[in-house]
Order: sequence, then C-alpha cells, then structure tokens
Amino acid sequence: MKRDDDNGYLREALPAFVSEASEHLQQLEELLLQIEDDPHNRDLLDALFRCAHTIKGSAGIFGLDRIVQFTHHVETLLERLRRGERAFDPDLGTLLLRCADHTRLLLEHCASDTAIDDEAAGTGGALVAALREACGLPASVGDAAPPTPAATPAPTDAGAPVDAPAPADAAAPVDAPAAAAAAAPRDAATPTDDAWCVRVSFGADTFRNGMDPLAIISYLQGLGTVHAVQCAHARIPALEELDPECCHLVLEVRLTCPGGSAAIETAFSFVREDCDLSIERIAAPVVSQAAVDAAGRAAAGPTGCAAGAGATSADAAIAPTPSAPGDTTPEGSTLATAGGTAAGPGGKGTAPDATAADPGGKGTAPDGAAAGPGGGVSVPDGRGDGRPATGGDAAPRWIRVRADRLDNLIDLLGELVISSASASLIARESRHSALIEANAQVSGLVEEIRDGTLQLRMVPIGDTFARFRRVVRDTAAELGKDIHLALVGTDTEMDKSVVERIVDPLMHLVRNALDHGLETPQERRAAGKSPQGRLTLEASHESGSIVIRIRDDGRGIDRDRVLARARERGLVGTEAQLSDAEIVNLIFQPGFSTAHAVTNLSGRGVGMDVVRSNIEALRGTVAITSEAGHGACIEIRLPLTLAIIDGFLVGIGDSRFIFPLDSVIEVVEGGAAVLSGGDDCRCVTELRGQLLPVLDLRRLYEIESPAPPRRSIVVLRVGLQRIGVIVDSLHGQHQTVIKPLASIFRGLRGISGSTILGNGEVALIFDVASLADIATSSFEPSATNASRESA
Amino acid sequence: MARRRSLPDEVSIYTAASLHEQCLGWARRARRSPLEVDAAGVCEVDAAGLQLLVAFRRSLEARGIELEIQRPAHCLCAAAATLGLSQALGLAADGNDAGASR
Repeated sequence: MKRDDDNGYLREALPAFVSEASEHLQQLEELLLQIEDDPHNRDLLDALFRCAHTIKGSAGIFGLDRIVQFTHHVETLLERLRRGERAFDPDLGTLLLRCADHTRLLLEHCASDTAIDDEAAGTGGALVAALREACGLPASVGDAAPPTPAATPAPTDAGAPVDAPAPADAAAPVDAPAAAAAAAPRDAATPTDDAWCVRVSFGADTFRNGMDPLAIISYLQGLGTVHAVQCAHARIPALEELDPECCHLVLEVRLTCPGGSAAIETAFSFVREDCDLSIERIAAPVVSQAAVDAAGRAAAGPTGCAAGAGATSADAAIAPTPSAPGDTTPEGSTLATAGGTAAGPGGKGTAPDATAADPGGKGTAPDGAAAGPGGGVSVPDGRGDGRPATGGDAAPRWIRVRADRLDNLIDLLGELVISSASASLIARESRHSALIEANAQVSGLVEEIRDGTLQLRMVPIGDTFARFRRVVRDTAAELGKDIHLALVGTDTEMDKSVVERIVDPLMHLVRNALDHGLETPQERRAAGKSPQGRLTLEASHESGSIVIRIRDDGRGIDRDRVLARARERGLVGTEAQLSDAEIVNLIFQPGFSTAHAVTNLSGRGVGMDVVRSNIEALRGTVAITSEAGHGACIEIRLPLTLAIIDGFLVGIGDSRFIFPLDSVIEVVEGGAAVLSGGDDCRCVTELRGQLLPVLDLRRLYEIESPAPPRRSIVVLRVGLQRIGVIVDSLHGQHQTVIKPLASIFRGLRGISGSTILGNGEVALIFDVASLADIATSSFEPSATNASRESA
Repeated sequence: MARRRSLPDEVSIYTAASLHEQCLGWARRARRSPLEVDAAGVCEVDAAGLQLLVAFRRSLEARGIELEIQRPAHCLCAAAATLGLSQALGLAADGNDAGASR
C-alpha cells in the first residue's frame, strides 16, 4: 500500500474524503444537538452512530490511523447510547461535541499533512479517557486500545477447528478449544447479537484493480473484533498454474461488529463490484464455532471435513480430503454442513464452499461457491440485508461536481443568453416568420437551461442555519443564558456562492443577538418574560430575493442610547429629527458600537457596518426593526443568484437600463402628474391617493436628450418601501446576465452592474435599494413616513 | 543448495510477477525437503504476495517437499494471520499487530 502510485491515488482521493468527513462531522454535530432535545429518539441515535462510523470507516481506508483510533472510542460510546446501555445527557452531549471538534482538528491535520501538536494530543487523550469513562471502561487506554484488535489468534485462523473430521487429525480437537478460549474473553464483553459471518470470494481482478484483501480484513478488525478468519487456500492453484496477479482468495471471517452488516459492507465497498459477498448474522462466534464443531463431528466425518479447507496432505491443518472419501456428492455435503451449523440462528456452515465442494482438493472446483450453502444466501450484487441501512444516508443521490466547472458552465450560459437575445433580435428585424418562431423556441429552451443550471448551484440554507445551533448552544452556556434556537424555512434554497458569503455576517448577527439582545434568565424573569430566550433564524423567498430574518425576544434596541451614541460620535447632527426606524438602523453606521464593554463574543472589532457592507457586496440589504423590551428583528435581503436575473428593460434617451423584474410592481404609463420637482431629481407623485417618492433618472444621471412628452413611471418595491422612477420608454422583460462594473464605476450611485443586450449595446442594471435611498434620503420626514405607511 | 534463498523486501502485487518466476525456479531446482527460504527482510506484504507463497508451498508439497519460511518478518506473520493463512504457510501467528502490514 505504500507504493508511490497507490499513495498518489490515495492522495488524490484525500480531499474528497476530507470534505466528506467534514460533512459527516457537521451532520454529527447537528444530530447531537437534535438529540439534546429528543434524547430517546432511536432514529437519531442510529444516525449518529452511522455518522461516526462512516468517518471512522473511510479514515481507515486512507490509513488515517489517528482518526480511526479516536473515532473508535466515540463509536463505542455511541453504540452504548444506541443500545440504551447509557442514557444521553447534556454532559455527554458536550463531550461528544468536543470529540467532533477534535476529530475535525485531526482531519485538518490530515488534510494539510501536518503533525498534531502536544496540546491537541493532550486534548485527544483527555477526550478518550472521558469517553471510556462514559462507557464505563477504565479510563486508561493502555495497549488494549481496541481499534485494531489483536490480529486473529493463531489457532483460529486456519479453519482447523471446523474441519474436525478425521479422528486421525489431532490438530482439530486441540485447536477447537484453543479457538474458543482465545475468542471467549473478548466475546464476553461483546453482546452476541452483533456476531457476523462474512463470506467473500474476491474477484479475479481484485489485485489488478489495486485492492488488497489484506487491507480489507485489517479494516474489518477495526470495525469490531475479528474472531476467526479462514482462507480457502485450496482454491489457490499451484504455482505452475498460478497467475500471480489473479486473485483466488475466498475468505470467511467471523466477527462481532457493533456496526452491523451495513458497517461490514463498507469494508468491501471498493471491491463490491467484483466480489461475492455474503454477510450473515450468527449466534456468538464462539458458540457457533462450537456448534460448527459439534455439527462437524456429528455429521460423521465426511461432511464436516468437506467444510474444511482441505488441499494436500503434508500439513495437518490443510489436509482433509483423504479422510473424506465417502462423500461423493459435494452439494449434499455442503448442505449437510449448513444444516448442522444452523444450530445458531442464521448460522451457516463454514465459508469456503468451493473447497467443500471439491473433494479432489484441486482447489479449482467449478462454480463451487455457487453450489455451496452460500449459493442460497450470498448476494452477488451486494443488495444484501445490509443495504437498507446504508441506504439511509443515500436516499437523495448526489453527484459531486467541482465548483469551478459549474462556474464555467454558468459563464458560458451567460454568453448563450446574450447570443440568443441577439439572434432573436436579428430574427425579428428580418421579419422572417419561420426564423422568428424557431428563435422563440430556442429562447424558451435557453431560459429553461438557465433556470436548470442556476438550480444546480442552489443549496438549502438549512445546512448553514444548522451550524448556528452549536454556536447558540455554546455561547448561551458561556453567557449563562438559556436560549432556544428555532430554525424556520430551512429548505429555502439559495445560490451556494451567496450562502458561503453570508455565513460570516450571519454569525456576527447571531452572536450579537445572543450577547446584547437576549437577557439572562434573571433579567428576563424580572422583565416578566419566560426565562428561556428565543432566537429565530428564518429564511424565505420573497419577490425574487431571499429574506433572512434573525429575530430575538430580548431587550430590544434602546433608541435613546443609540441616538445618544450616534450624536456623541458625530454620526448625526444634534438637531436632526430621525424616525425610530432610522435610529435603530444607525447601528449599521461605521464606527458605531453601543456595547458597554467589548466582550469575548461580539464587538471583536467587526462592527455592524462591516456586516452591512458584506451584505451589500452581495447586492443585498439589511435592516433592523426593534421594539424596546420585546426584541429585535434583523432582516437581510439577498438576491437569489449572482449571475442572471430576469430584468425589465427601459430606455431613457438613448440609454438602456434594467430593473430587476421582481422589484417592479407596476408601471404607470404615460404622463403621470409629478407634483414637485424643482432642480432636484427627487419629486413626488400621487398614486391612488398616496404619495410616492419619484426619481427622475434623466436628471439624476444628467442624460442629455430632450424628454419625450409622455413619460412613464415604473413603481418599484424595496422592502416595505415603494418608489417610482420616471423613464422614457418601456421595452419589457429581458433575460439579464449580470456583468460586474469596472472598478472605475463602482462609485456610481444606483447602479449595480451591467449587461449586454442582443444588439451589442450595454445596459446598466439598477440597484433598486440604493435608488430608494436616493429617492427618500433627507426627504421631508412626512413624505417618507407617508410612503412607509402606505406600504 | 548452498546459495541462500530469500524473499524480497516486498512480497506484494508489485513483485508478484518476478517473485513468481523466482519461486518457479526454486521449485524446479528443489531436490530435498525442506526447502528453506529466508523471510527476514520482508517489510511489505499484501494478499497477492501471500497467495503466491501459498501456491509456492502447495507446488512443493505436491512433490513431497516442505517449504520452510525462516525468520519470518513480523509483518509477514501478521499479514498471514489476518488472512487466516498462518497454518497454510507454516508460520507461527504473530498476532500483535496486523495493522502493521498495511
């Protein structure tokens, strides 16, 4: 396994392992947190166990012994929980969470190929001791560390006990008790319902495919306790006939494995395609061994013997056939063996069916495996009993795709959208009806492809939310607060690139709410609230954007203090009259912090202004509402995707602009009466009896062209606000591929990006939120309020 | 045979073809029992290597010659034990650490 190419193969696969293991750790953590609320949920405990087990299993394949060893202890504890031998309590939860952290640390070290430092090693040791203690085991691990249980003891390995046929064979009677003795002490600790008999006939190409049965069996040893391994070495041809690169190994392994058949199957997952595998539950391996033994003897030599491993004569252990001459019906013999050993529930005869069916001992029994008892139970395609269990986490099928490939695809898609728009335009100009129709069809398909492709990048936000459970739990404990976190709308999907970039701002906001917003139980009681604080993370789709709300029922924002601080910092003039909403949103101003003392949690130098600019960089907005004494709600609005939007194309003079279609509520066509104006680009109109702030873009952007006599007003929705924008002409819906603006245009107010139209012209995309700012900022409070109330 | 026969440091799929040739040669020339092969230098073993040794042993046995693997390295014993081939190879099982063979 240490060959360069092998190493290379593993190294290549390692990042995939690391990312998968991280996901499993994440899941583990989530499950732990769920279990805290529902400690008796058997499904959760099972899932938890599977999670830890999968991590251990795949780490084993990569030879990451440190992880295997550590997670083994975790697994042991989880197994006890699962079996109800130990009840789950919050302390255990904390321990397991810390274990998850430590595993993550180990994983990082594996990923970066660095050694872990003494401190981490110390933590690991302490955790292992705690785990063992929790399992009721002596805390010191000593050499008895179970992850790689001592290799199969000698007496049990060659099948001697089983083929106890010939009285002449002195080895068998001696060996059998030895085997039992060797296995018994270990077995005493392991419950009998986890005993399994694994029979595997490796495909001829196993070696050529780079697989090593030795590694697989070693791995099995890490899954539980292997009591006996038998190899049907009679199936290995003599040297002269041997193709050394062809695998002829047929093995039977008896083990106790807490993970069950599903776990065992994972050991074979890389050879699943070309091996015959059967996994059966047996009575405790020792018992069954004895039963096999007895059955073997009772079955009067021939049958028992045939089940052995027989080959040639020199070696007693591999000698059997001459002593089994009477048996001429191989099938009969094997079936008899099966019957005999069925003493244990489900227990079957010994594995090497082929040898059993091969009285000649030539080791080339045609089709032996199929003829033997295994024929009835082996599951060549691996859809065995273990399958449903493993299927649990495979329910939705996934394909991992490299993010950069997807990005390339989306870039290309953007070009396709533009080209298709250009083709449609030319088609329309040609007035060739068949061409127009064909193009319309192409456009329709392009649109579907666009939606489908963007969908590929959509991930539910729940995964991101879930990681806050841990944050809330730990932070609340640290602050001595009792806080319940509720997650709402976790299946709301959004672009992965957006999700990735929203985590940090969200984290900050959540910490802020925990630290400043929510009170301690005493304070809450004093305020007449329930002692448990409530924090809600909520996601939903709202008119083409994602809305994330972080709501708490804490003390809310103290307006007076905010205002005082803002004045103190010179953020607002002492005379300025601000609405309540404006006051609370002052906390997003740079250089604002009301925390009396900078705590460990929030106020680490990252202010709310950074949160806001992060969100704005995503073309999102953030706003806060608060009711003193009753909590606060921070609302983040984000675009669904960063790449392509449905736009509404308008013209002003010769210039073309695009509004995100989702923000357009209605269009007032033709000269709407604009009430006030003056030199300013801002004015007001009346729409159905309500005041509507209106922005004259011709003035705002100083577009020099005569205004047409009849202009239209596009009414936009921005959060709860509505604003109108005066435009010259309306060109309808347009698929818009967002191109970033060159940095020189970054300062441009109200514009978020550009796009290329079908005719090659450039159109600018409006940033509706900042348009709204322009339209309403430092406007007469009355007008602003009017518009707000109207919404 | 005065010349000492010894197994290469690696008894695995990577050396299986050449070791196969070598074993065939040893088997052809073998005249008396036991045939001794030194295995002290083995440090890498896999299932393919073990399979080859079993085949070697069988071929010799067919002619009444016993294969004696001398001074077997720990990893060889451990690997044989893991695959349940200790007795088939006439090796004492050394069950301390099967993982070492990986």
